[in-house]
Amino acid sequence: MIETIKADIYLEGLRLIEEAEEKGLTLRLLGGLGIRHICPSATEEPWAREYEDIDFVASRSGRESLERFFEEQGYEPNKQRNLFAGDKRLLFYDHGNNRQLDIFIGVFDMCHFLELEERLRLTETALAPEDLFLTKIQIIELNQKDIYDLGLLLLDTEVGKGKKDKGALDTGYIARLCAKDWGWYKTVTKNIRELKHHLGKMPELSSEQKEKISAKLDLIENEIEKQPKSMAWKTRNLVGEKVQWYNLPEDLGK
Amino acid sequence: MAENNGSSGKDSGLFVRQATGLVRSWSVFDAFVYAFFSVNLITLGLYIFSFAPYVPDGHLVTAVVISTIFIIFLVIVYAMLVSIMPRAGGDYVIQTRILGGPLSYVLPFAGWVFILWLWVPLYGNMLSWNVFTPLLTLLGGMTGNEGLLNAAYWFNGVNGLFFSALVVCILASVVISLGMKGYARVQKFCFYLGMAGLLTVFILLLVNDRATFIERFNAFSAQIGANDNVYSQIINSSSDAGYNPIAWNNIAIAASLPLIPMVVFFNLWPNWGATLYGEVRGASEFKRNFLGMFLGLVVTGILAVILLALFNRTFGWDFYLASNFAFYEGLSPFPVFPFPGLLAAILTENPLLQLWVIISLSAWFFGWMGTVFLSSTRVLFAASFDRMLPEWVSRLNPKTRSPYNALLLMTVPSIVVSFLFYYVPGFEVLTLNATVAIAICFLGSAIAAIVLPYRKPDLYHASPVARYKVLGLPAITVCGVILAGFLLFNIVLWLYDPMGVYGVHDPYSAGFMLVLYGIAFIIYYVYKNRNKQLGIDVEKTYEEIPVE
Repeated sequence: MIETIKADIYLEGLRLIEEAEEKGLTLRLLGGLGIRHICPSATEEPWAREYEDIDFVASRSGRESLERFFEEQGYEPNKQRNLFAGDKRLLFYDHGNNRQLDIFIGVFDMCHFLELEERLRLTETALAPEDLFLTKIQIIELNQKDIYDLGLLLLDTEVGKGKKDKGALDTGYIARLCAKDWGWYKTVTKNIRELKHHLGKMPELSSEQKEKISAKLDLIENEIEKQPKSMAWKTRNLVGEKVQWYNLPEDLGK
Repeated sequence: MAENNGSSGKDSGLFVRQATGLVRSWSVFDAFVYAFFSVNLITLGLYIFSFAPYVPDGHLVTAVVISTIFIIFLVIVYAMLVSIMPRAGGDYVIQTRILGGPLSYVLPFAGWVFILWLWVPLYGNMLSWNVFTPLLTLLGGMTGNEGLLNAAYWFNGVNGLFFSALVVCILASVVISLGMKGYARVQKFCFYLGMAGLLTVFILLLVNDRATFIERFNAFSAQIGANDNVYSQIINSSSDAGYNPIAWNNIAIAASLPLIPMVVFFNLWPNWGATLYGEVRGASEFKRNFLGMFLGLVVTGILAVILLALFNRTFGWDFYLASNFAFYEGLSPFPVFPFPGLLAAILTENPLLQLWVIISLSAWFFGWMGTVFLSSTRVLFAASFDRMLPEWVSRLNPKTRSPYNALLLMTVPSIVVSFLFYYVPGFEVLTLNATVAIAICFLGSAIAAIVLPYRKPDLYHASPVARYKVLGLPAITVCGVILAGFLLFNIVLWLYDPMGVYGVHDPYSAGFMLVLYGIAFIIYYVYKNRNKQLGIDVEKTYEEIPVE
């Protein structure tokens, strides 16, 4: 066992990516740390926050070696959970630092399902901004940290259609996903409105910051509405909210 | 994805998520389909209904209705227990955590591991009689090909039956290796296909009258080499042998009670998925668990009554019962098991429709066959997590994610048991405990439910089921008492067996069961002592609900 776990959670995330790379495994940060990685303002007030867990997306190609890799890095697996759900997701613990490690394998399956295998090649270290945005905005029960993370992501990244700039958030990709899947559309548009509402009420943000974020949200929303919708989307739209369009993840240990 | 929230969340109208979120593999609908297939009308139901002539004064419909009503209490008890402990392992976790002690290990282990080995030859029989034989008989009758007919008869013999048991082991292992999502997809496909098949059977039975059936049945029997007028011959030969079927309109409540221990072979299992609830969404909600199992049981009960009524209408009740009696007594001129699916298929002269009936009804078998091992693997995993079995039991193949060791523990002994079942005279009797041992395991969980509010008050009061009361008493206790009474009624009848029809009232059979319990006791003490040497007190482990 290699006892090299770093106390700084962000540095530990980077270390694991590097170690994994050496073993031929692909890991990308997502969640709060992923946003922290691509957003320079993350360490400044009011965005700076404590991170309690590391979330990764791993490529399916190295699936068989992942468990051994994290155990070698000093992490303790949740054997039961990994046994039952390890084809899509692995869970490890760093008891020394009281932290958890969540690894999504090729897909992100929470309130909504997002295929990520092909997306891992687009970037290094963290997922692309649009994927980071989607993995946060898909949360049905948004909490304070989600609002902050989304606000920070939008503040620090350029937003536009297409992948002209590697660091920019591609609204076209989000719009295409929402045009294909009514559930995604419903949650994303609903949460954009929620986000605007909550950000507007935050006294710690300057009006300039609020306007900037709000304008970017408008851009995303406009792009989503403009995108021609699929037949499946239109059919599902007829049913509307009468049928639940999302999964509600359960708390582990409940 | 861990997302612990800040303290201001609630005040701002935002949510507070406390821990890591997880989307479990199975929906409530998947759990319903599993429960529905576990009380499988076409495989288990039609198989055990065929033995009804051995309780000649009992009426199948009465036995099905009464047993279904009592089994609702089993559903309530298990739905409550699962919502309190939504963990993989079902009876094993329930009993070890509430009752503790060696019996809490031995009953589920014997019930879910050893006894399931004995179920494989029974599944093999059903594969042979419900799928291979009718399909080959039908094709043989259509084409006049003797080879196909001989193949159909081969599946009636020991080699064919043993072959079917091997097929069960292989296919069940394959479908379980697909993982829970893959398994759910297979059973969902089979559910829709099987229901379409059953609907076709209902329609065929409704649009044809008895005269047409007699004509078609006699004609088909002639096609497959039987004599003329087989319909009457079957009824007459049974009558000559002293069998007088009960009339359809005689509900015979008291006389049907002895039929219940037979009928529960088919419908005692809506909780078969209880071992899997660690992988079902919303398993901590009583109503969701209840709904999945309740609908599985009640929909099946209703379909069973409709199907039997249609048998009466179109086949004739006398004929339906007599055909089974004549088959088991070796008196039938009809050369294969009178599978009602086959009898319904020949009501049409359209060969494609005939094939459709048999193939779509076979989905009831293929959607269900995985139940022979799937639930057991979770019991093995749970015991392994508690260090009460070796760690390798819960290992997966890193590439395929197949629980290959747990499956090997189930398949290898099952093949040995199947071989003994078919080739060693007298061994068949030993397997008649297949239902008894599981009912005894359920009795252990019923007792756990009864004592839960008093033995583990903290666990009970923190659970969502604590609010359910009956006359001021905990509902889980009251329902547990009713369930225990029902199970004891069956167990006493099986063991006492005044009519000599259940086959369990046999010293070898009872001795065999005791040997299985003895082996489970030995395993318990071996692993208890091994843990003790490592400084682990297994009874302390049993005081904690397993982590997820």
